[in-house]
Amino acid sequence: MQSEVVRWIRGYVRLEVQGKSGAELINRALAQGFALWDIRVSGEDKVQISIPGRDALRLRPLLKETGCRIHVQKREGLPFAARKWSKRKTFAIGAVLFVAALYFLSSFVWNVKVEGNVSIRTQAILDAAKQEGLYPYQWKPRMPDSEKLSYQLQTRLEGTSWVGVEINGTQVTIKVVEADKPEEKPLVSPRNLVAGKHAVVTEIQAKRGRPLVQPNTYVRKGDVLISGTLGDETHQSIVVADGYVKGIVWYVSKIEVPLVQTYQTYTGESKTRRYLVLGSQGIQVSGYGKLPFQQYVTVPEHTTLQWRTFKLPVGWLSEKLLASETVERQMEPAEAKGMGLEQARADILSEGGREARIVSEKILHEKTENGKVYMEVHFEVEEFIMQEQPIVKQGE
Amino acid sequence: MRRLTQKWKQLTANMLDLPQDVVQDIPRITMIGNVQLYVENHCGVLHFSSEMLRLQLTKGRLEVTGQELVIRAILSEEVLIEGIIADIKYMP
Repeated sequence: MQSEVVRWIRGYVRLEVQGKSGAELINRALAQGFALWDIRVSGEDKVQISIPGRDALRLRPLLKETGCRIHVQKREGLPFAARKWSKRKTFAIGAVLFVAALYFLSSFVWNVKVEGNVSIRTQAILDAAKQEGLYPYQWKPRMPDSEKLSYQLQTRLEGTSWVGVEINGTQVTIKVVEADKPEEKPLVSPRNLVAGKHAVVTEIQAKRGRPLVQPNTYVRKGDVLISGTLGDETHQSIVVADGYVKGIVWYVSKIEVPLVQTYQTYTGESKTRRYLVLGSQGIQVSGYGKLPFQQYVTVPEHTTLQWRTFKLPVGWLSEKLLASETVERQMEPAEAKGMGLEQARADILSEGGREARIVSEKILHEKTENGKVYMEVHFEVEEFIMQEQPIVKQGE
Repeated sequence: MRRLTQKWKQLTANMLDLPQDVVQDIPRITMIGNVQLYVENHCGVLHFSSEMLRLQLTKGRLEVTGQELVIRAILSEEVLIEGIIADIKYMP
C-alpha cells in the first residue's frame, strides 16, 4: 500500500462508476494489478473509487466488458497541479524569481561581528577586516577564504594570538583571542636596605647592591645593610638594592594571666521562636511562653521569598535560643604560666613576620599575686630586619 | 496428491510452530475494535454496498456487515475495510 505522499506525487483521479456490476469491475481491475482505494458506495449502482491517473485510462476495456460507465469527479496530485501551474506563467516566473533572489541576496555578507576583544577596539578590527576585503555588502565569492583572512588579520592586528573568521550564511563572526602580556613590574626608585630594628645580623644575602655588614655584627636601627651605591667615588652608579638580611632581635614581653578562667558553654537546652516577616515587621508565630532559662545565645535564620533576583518583602525568621551558662575554672599557677607563654610566643611570631623563628626564651621575673600570674619573658627571635630606604641624591 | 501436500504442509506447520496462514492459503483477518478490518489472502469482492461486503476466499466466503463501510484500500490479495462493523460471518 502506498503512502498518501507517493499517491499525490503520482497523481490520482476520483471516479464514479455507474453500473450494475461494480464489484466485478473492481475484481477485474485488481486482477490487472491496479491499486484502488477509498471505495465508497454513493447511491444506487454507484461506486466511487480512487485510482492512479495512469491506470484510469487503462480502465476503458474493462468498462466495456462489464458495461459500466465512469465520471471523473476530481483530479488530484502533482501531474495535475503542474498542468494547472503551467497555465499561470506569471506565477511560475514569480516563484522562480523568488528563489533566485533569495540565492542572490544570500551570497552577500550582511553583517560582520567581532567577538572576544577586550583591549583592541572593535572599530580597529573592522577597519583591518575591510582592508582585507571583509565588510558588510561584500559579495562572498570576491572575499578571500576564511583561513587566509584570519591569517592576514592576525598579522595586521597587533596584540592578538589568534584570529578566527567564521562564515555563517550571511553573517561573519571575527573571533579574536588577545595575547597575554607579561605583567609590568612596579617602578621602584633607587634604594638602600637598612636595619629596621636593633639586631645581631645572622645572615645576609644581597641580590643587587653591596653588602656592608657581616654576620655576627651588631647593627642599630637605621644602619645601611645593603647599599644601592656601587663603585668608588669617581665611577658611581646607583641601583635598586635587593636582597634579604636576617638578624636576632630581642623582645621583652610582659605577661598577665588570671588564675580563674571563665567560659561560656551551652547546657543543651534550646527553644525555637518563629516569626513571619512582613517588610521590617516581625510577627511571632510560635515559641510563646516563659523561657525556662535566663542566659542564652540567639541564632537567627532568615529566609526571604525571592523570585530570581527580586526579593519579596515577605519572609520567615526562625530564631533558636540556646541556653548557656558561665563556667569558672580555677587553674594551677604552672598551667597558667604555660598558657601565658604560649600566647606570648604566638604574638611575637606574628609580629616578626614571615620566617620568624624563636631562638631562645628566658623568664626574667615571675610572681603570683591577686589571683593572677605576672611574668616578664625575654625572647630572642631571628627574623628579617631589612627595610627599604630611598636614595636621595644631593647637590645635583 | 494435492491432499497429501496439504497434509504435509499442515504437519510441518504444527511441528515448527508456524502460523497457519503462512503455510496454507487461508486468509488472515485482523480487526481493530469495530472500526477497521484487514483481510489478507482474499480472492476478490463478490458484493459491496455501504452495509454489506462479501469477499471470496480460497475456501468459502466472508460476509462483513455494518454501517458506512468503505474500502480504504484494496490490492489483489489484501483489503482494508473501515466503517462501523457489526458482524463477520464465515460461510463455507
